[in-house]
Amino acid sequence: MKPEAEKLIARFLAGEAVESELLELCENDQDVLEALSAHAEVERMAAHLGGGQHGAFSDEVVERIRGKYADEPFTSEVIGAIASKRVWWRRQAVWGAIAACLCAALGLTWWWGGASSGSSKTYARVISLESALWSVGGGQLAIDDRLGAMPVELERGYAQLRFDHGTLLLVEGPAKFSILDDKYVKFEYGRAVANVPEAGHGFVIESPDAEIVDLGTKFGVDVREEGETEVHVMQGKVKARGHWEAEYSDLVGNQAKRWNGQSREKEELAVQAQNFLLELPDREFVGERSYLHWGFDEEGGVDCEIEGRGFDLAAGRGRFYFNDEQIYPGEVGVGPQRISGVSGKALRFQGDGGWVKTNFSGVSGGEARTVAFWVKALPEDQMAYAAIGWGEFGPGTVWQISLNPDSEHGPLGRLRLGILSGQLIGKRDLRDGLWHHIAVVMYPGDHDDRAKLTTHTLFYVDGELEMTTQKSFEEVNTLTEEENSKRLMIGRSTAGGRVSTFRGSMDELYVVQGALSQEEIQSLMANDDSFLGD
Amino acid sequence: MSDDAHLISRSLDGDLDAYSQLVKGYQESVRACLAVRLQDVTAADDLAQKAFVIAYEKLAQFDVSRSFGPWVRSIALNCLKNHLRKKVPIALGCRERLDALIEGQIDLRYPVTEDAAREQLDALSLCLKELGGEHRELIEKRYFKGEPIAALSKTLNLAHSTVTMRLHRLRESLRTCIEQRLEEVR
Repeated sequence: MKPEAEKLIARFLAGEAVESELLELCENDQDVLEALSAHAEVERMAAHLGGGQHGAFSDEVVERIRGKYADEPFTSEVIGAIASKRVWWRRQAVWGAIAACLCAALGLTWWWGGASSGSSKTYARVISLESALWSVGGGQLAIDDRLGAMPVELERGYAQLRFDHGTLLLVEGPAKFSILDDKYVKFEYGRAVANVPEAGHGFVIESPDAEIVDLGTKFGVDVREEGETEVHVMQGKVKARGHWEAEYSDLVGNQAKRWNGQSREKEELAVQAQNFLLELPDREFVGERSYLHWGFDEEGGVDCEIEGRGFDLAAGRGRFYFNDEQIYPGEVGVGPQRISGVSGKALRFQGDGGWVKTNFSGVSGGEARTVAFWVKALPEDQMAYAAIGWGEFGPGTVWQISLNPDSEHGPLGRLRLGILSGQLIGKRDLRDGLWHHIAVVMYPGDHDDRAKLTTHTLFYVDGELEMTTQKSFEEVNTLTEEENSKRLMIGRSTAGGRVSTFRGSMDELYVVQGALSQEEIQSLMANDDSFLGD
Repeated sequence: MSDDAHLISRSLDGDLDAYSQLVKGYQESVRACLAVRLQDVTAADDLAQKAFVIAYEKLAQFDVSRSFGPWVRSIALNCLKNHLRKKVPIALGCRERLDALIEGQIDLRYPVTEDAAREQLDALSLCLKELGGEHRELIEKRYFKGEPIAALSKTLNLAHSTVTMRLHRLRESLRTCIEQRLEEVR
């Protein structure tokens, strides 16, 4: 092959605009085409190898199957009939027998093993809570409450405990566990992440299936009600064994294992740190939070006024657009329509090209943020990826909120946050013709712990924490100042090419620089933003 | 009953753990089959997952006397075709026509009935290990980390064209190495 052809191939694969010359060569010379294909193959395969082993692949496939059929009763029943369910019943029977023995022997009303009620010694303190709801029988725990040898039942939400020797234990509900002493926690079910300092070495988490002993580490434990325990070691080392095993085996960073106490099976797994919330943010806020608020309360016209603080208010002002054309006053029936909203007026987007343009660049990088608004959609509404978005349309660099419009990504109509390289999808179908308050909250990332979809982002629907699926462990780095960065778009996708617009109604949009708490989100729902200041 | 047939039978009973095992057995093959055909690594993996979801839905139609690999790879290629169809603009430019020619060549080299793409990947993995440190570093920077040529040129203090041609030669030597390795196996 001629050197010129070689050079053209090299330049083409380096991204230079030589495709017309190379196309002509390839159409006339099979050798050139074959050489080009061979180079492209090596390039793609190398990129694939660089992408790693993708250990969570099969779990993600299963998660997609579950997510896809979450709302279809027949398939849910089929999926629900998995063998482990049967094990769960057997396990319940075993636990019930143990409970009966304990109750009979000790006269305790709380059957679950190991807890010696009445002891006044305490070992840990509640340091942060997120949407935590405790079981009524187990009492309500608040920040700074201390825990001794007592059973605890967290129905939902997150609770972070600090043991006196420094171990942090972040528990995700639903969870039922007992602290037995300063280095011993026994879970019946639930998920937790333990971050153990040197003083806490030897910290033990026990489950019905296994026993995990810390040797200086950060690890996640998932104890399933249906009868399995997984440990995922993120850093450091643990030793662990199934209850039927005499010997411990070591697990180090990026190793994971599953035990099934019933079948006495164990299995090595790929670490799935993305399934755990690793840390609750420090809610203590110092200084003022910048925010913008679009009330959409204008009686008419094509402008959307704003209020707020810290951000450039003039940039936040919205203007109606139809596709790429500005709409001028007097152009009746074009673009978003003004309707009665939750508070005053609201905007109805028809999905026909109407949207609201602003010059607000949005919150950038991995900075903490909250986007909250009311939304109403009908079951027949087909939506683009388009409710709210800003940033550069690239992997991790865009920030876009929608009601999931594409069944390929998960169940339709659920709150969805997409950053192109990953997504987070809520559980509830919001297309029921009612107003729902939604909030997407991202905690700040830092140099060592970059902001990621799964570990730093929470959804709230109607003021309550929303469980999420289709999680991605992707880093969020919203680019707001690049040449192709899009300013905040209301009702339009940030993707280039064909204009995709939202279909549904929207009211009282807030973009806040900072992670709002559940209480603050509930205040916004109650039309009270006084906590944000003037 | 073969292991696969057993897993398929359990999957048909709604046992997703069994299906997960089946996915684990074939994921590398399906991912490799798509990886050689698609520039975007993330999209390739996404399509591979989608193929396994579709395979799950159509599992009842699968003839267990046949091999599962070619069947799921053919589903993956259909997913790829649909994906590419959605992306094709109305007016085809030179770039798209060139891509189509490359895809045609790759389709010829990697028939769905064979697990050739995975063999190539395995060979490439070994060949990369044999590369000298400096060369391997260049490949890793360009293809693992996706660094642009301009950035590489600046880091290495080399002309843009020098980096371009150095990468070209490296790809060529890797291609030769892959062929030699596969020849040894055959």
